[in-house]
Amino acid sequence: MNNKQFISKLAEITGQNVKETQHLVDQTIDGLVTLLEDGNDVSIHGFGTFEVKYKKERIIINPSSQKKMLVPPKLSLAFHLSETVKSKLK
Amino acid sequence: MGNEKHTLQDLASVLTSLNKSTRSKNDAFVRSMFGLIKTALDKDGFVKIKGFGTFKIIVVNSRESVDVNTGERIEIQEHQRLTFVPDKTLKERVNRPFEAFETTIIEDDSKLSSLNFNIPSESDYNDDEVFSIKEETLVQENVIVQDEVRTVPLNSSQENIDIKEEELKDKEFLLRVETLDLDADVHKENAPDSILETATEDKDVIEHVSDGNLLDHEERPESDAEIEDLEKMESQYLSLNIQEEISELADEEDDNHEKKSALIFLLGILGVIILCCGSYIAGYYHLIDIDSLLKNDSQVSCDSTTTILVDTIVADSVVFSQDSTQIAALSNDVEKEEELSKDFEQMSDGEYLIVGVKEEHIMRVGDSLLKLAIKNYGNKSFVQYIIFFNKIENPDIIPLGALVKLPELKKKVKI
Repeated sequence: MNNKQFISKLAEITGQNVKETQHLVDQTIDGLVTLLEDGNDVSIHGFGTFEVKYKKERIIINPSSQKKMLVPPKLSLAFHLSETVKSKLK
Repeated sequence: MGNEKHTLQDLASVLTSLNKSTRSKNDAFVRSMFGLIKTALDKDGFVKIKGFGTFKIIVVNSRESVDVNTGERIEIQEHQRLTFVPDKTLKERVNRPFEAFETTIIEDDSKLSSLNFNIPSESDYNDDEVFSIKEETLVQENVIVQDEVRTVPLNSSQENIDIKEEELKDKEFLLRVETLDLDADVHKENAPDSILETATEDKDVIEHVSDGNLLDHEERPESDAEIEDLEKMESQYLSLNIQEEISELADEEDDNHEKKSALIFLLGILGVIILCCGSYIAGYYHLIDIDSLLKNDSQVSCDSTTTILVDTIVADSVVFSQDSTQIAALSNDVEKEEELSKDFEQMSDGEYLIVGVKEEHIMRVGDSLLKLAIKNYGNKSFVQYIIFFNKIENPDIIPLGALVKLPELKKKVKI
């Protein structure tokens, strides 16, 4: 299901038009990131948990130039399913 | 990371603060949204949301593995796994605190290049982040363990990456910690078969703390808080170790510098002493010669004055004989010199003869031929002898560690 289909389906469910639904989805994502900025995880019951992980810097070698490079540390967004959904999958 | 966990309700509250709608409506919206994602996943197997990311269900093939408790070979059946790949904009937003950092090239002479670092196995990199550096460029992960290079295959499409990650990542297993031994040699690869199984299926965690320094363990799905704590401890330990090693390296270098400078100083003093002794002896020897010469001359002159006042020829002959004794002495010297210097190539217009190798010097940082000339011969004009003797083509560029022979010089006897 791509974005278009998703939004239209969601609009159907919520009874709003596509434009507003898209806007709401964007706001939800904003809200999610705002919560994550605290440093805490966001756990959606019956779905899964979003968390921000810190990745340390590391040395890699660029294969084309064969030079050592230092990748800086970064924060990345991770998600894992809740147990109930996982078991359903299996 | 933090202590609290935000819930759906918190999300709804934040949403309410952002828009004009009521709390309950927003709550309902959020629930419907995530519910729809679930339904869509059931139906289609993937959902892509703009500004968010892609949720995808991946089929993990069955594979053989070993039971943790019994050691028997068992088969992990084929099963499904959900992955989430954040959208680019979302990634950047989350990484905002670190957005100023960029990947940089490490120069060969920097400290970092000398640090040992390990091969992280493929299982460590279970995120597509690993394969993207700075916008579009995809870089293949190559890591070195003491000059060995092992490449991780380049996957240009995210799907392939996901599948591969899942296969490797899907070890229903707890923890594998390796000791942080900084002198360790090759770090063994995390082959899937060697990963042990636990009875609890739902713990999909691998902690992989490799030996060496600047290598981290990539993200993996965690469901156990204890493991998180351990991870934090390990990361602190790692970072401490890194700091320790860098400071140790710095200390070692300082020590080396000090030792080197002390050595050079001692050598310098020794050289000066030898030079003084040598010149003293040479001078003394020279003085003896002159004395003996003078004695001869005086004797001869006395003879000449007593016998000849009339016969100028005789006087001349005496003078001649004086000269001849001088010449003889000189010629003796010349013969000696010739003998000494015949083994060596001589400078055509020099005042000094090269009669041997005085010293062999290895060029170090800060050395120069001029300095050597001043040190060994007392005058910078002697540098031409050094250049000539060593057949140096370009005296301005002498490589570090080059062996420079300092010739033993003897002043030519002037006839």
